[in-house]
Amino acid sequence: MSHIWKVLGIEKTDDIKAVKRAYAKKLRETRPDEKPAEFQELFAAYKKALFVAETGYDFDEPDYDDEEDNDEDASATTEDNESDVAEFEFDESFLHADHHTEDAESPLHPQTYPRTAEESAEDNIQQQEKARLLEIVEQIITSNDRYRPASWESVLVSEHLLDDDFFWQFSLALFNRLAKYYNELEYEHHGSYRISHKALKYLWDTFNWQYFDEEVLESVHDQYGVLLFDRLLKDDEVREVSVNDAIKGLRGGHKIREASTPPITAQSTPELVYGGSIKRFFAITVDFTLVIVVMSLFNVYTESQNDHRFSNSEYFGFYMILIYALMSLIGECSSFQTTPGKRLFGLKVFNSDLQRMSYPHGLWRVISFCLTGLGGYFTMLINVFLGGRFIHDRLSKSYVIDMQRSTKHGL
Amino acid sequence: MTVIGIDLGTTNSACGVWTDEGVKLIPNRLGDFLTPSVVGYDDSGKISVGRIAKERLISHSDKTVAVFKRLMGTDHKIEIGSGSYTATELSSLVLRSLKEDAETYLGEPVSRAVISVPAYFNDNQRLATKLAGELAGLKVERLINEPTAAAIAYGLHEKNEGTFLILDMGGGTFDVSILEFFDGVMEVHASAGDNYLGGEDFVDAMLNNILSSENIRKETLSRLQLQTMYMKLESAKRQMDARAENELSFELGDKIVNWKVTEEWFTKVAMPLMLRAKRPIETAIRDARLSPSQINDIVLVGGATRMKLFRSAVAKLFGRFPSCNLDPDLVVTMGAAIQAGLIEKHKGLDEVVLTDVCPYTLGTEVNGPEGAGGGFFLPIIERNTVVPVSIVRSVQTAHDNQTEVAINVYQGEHRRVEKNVFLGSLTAAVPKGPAGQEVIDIRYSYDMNGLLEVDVKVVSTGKKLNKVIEHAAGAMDDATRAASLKKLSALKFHPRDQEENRMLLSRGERIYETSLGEERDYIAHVLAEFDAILERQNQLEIKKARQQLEEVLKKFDNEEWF
Repeated sequence: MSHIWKVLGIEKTDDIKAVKRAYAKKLRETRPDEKPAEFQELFAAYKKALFVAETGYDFDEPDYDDEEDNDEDASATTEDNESDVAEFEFDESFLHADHHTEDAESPLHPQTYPRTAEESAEDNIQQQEKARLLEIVEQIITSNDRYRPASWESVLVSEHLLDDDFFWQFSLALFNRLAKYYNELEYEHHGSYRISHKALKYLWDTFNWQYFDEEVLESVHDQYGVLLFDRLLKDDEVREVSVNDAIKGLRGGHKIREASTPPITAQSTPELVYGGSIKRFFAITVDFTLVIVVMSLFNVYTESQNDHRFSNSEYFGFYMILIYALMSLIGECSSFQTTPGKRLFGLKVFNSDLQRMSYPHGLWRVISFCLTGLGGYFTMLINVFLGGRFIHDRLSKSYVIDMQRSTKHGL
Repeated sequence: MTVIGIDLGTTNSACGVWTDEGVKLIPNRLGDFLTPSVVGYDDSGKISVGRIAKERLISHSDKTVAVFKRLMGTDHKIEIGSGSYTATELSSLVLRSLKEDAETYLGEPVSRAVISVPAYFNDNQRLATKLAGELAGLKVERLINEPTAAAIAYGLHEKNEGTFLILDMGGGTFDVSILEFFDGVMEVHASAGDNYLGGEDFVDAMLNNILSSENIRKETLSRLQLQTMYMKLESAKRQMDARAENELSFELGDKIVNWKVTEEWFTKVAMPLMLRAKRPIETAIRDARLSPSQINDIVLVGGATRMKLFRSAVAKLFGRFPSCNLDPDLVVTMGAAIQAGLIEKHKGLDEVVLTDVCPYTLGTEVNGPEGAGGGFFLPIIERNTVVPVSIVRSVQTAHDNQTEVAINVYQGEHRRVEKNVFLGSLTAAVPKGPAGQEVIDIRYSYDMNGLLEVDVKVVSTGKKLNKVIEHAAGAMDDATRAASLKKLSALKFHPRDQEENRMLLSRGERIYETSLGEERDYIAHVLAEFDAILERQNQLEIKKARQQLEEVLKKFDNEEWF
């Protein structure tokens, strides 16, 4: 325990002013820009000492293990801060319970005063104002005005909205009204959107419902609200964060050239590089060589059996392709996801979910290959220009990935 | 060697210096303390900065640009005239102009400065500001957060101890800071903000509202019409308190639109922005773990806090009126100048030690729990941690036989990285092995300037990587920096002695462009006369004519947009 007081260079005290003075004195010797590590230690001790001085909470309680205590001193003051918050929130809820009757409470209103007569008058005015605004909302919802964002803007011409409690209560009332409206629509019009995306987006952004999702969902009285929230959340047009376009705010200037190299965006999937044409050409050469070697061995065997079917050059090409196709099918759909030639060059085959292909999918890939293969050199020529996604890859929606050049983003 | 303090603002910039008699603000070549942050080419191909450029924003908007601070830290380029510039380069021109003013005022070369930045500026934006200083030939000794600067000025000036809430709404950014000043310690408890909320947004909102209710698309307006509209609305916004109603008329496309600017209309238009402004205030108070009653003073900083609507909103939020005894436009400059004095260890200055916080959470991208995929945000430095701070977190490899680990650095509060700001990335090579075997220590260090340093250590190999952030927007490598320096130093400013005359001419041209009929002819006549007198180069005659012209222009010009 004595550690924090040692750092501050004073005896244990509950005088907040003394703690601050001691900290200020020590801080001159431990400037944050000159001794960052010592400063962090001093700062932690200061915060802890302040907490002790303010609350009178004594760390020297008998059940407190000394060793553990020191440990805690050295680390940050998270635990203390937590209890600090808890206490603060307790005060808040206590006061709220005393003076408010509405079920929808502002989670943010940081302070509540005891209500005087003046303030209850203010409350009355706010109730009236809320009723007036909700009436406007009613008018908008029941007329064609609901399509236009501009008509919704008129709801906002009330200075009372700057008041936290008022804003919050109105926001929830509005959300519940919208939910009710959508529920009615569900039955009458099978859920088609009747308020334009633009208008919904305007309300969504203005009232920041997404940020307060828990509070909003807590306030809704029925599942319609939950449904509406869910629907709005999933609606890309509504949800899209309205990033204030800095460029639009620019005044003057002839033209803006947008950044040529956009920053790397978050990669939730591994970054993929397709197998290049050269690697794939060599891979297929290796594969065919392998097939030919196998077939020649087989030929030697069949010739010795006096069977001339295989050595017949007319059929040789046909069998070669057939065997290659079979090998690809089995190899690419197996857990290896590759043929021997592709394996040699670090290539693997995936479906569009970046998983192993199913056998029917693999079969379709092989058929696509054979079909495009009919184009001969012409197909090959085109494939060279397709950036690693050959015609048969595209036809069969499969991907040949260069595993050596692809990096896995994320950890 | 003197260190100057600079407030590099969205709309206006200013600089000051600490002397034995306290803070001295430095006037620019026209004698004003505020230099509009506007840059443009004039007809002779020279660069003008400040008031002249702002006047020419109407008449030559293709060669002039304003409000570029918002593009700081991005790679966007703006074409003015024949050249194209990044926001950093444009800012460096403003800084160069301020530096020249300071050199004239002090009578000695100036090469060191403290520059203020919005507290909520991110790493890229801060680096860009520092770079702008370097391009202007200034060594940036410290980047100081604007609300902190304001608090220093306020605390020292008023000799006030206690806890302040600083609300700083300038032209383009909004900052909220809670500070405590006691026994020569200035402690920042919490900062929050919105980098895209300022006075210019209110004008934008007014403009968009008028256009949408008149069913006119912004793109169909000519530059002149659009800039005139901005100017008229800006001055209507400033006159809001004085006049309950303001009748404006705009030439939009081929029709004339008359518009009545009333308080009610403005409230409606501004309400979404006011509601947005409330969010950082709430965040800051929550993070500081204070109740509004524990705040001794609310200090308003920045030109946009002059709006009546803003003041009454603050009064509503806190149940009392804010105090503002210092000029909201200049208080940040004064604070920056005091900080400059502190860095010089100036004798006349009581020692103040400043402790600041990091206003946002900094972290890295990791994979989520089993099967959840990547893209999750792992906070390393939590927001409102006192700085300088250095924290290490360990992560592990996620895949078998992984050979590389990409460490993506993000800033923000969302649990998914794509909603946060990407700051850069590093790639560390790791030995192959089963998933989870390789451990990597990531150390984030955040310094007093608000700049982040990232150190990565692969535990098994002991290999270290230091902040080679490979892809930070707006950053420059040595070659581009040299090229940029060369390009900028080739730009010539106009000689200072002609400044006043040129300013009057630009102002006259602007009034000519925005007026009609007889008025127009008259102005053309007066300007031509003044031109003729300038040609004769008789200083006495010029001085007299200048005064006359000023009188004449004043009659026609009722815009308040400086």
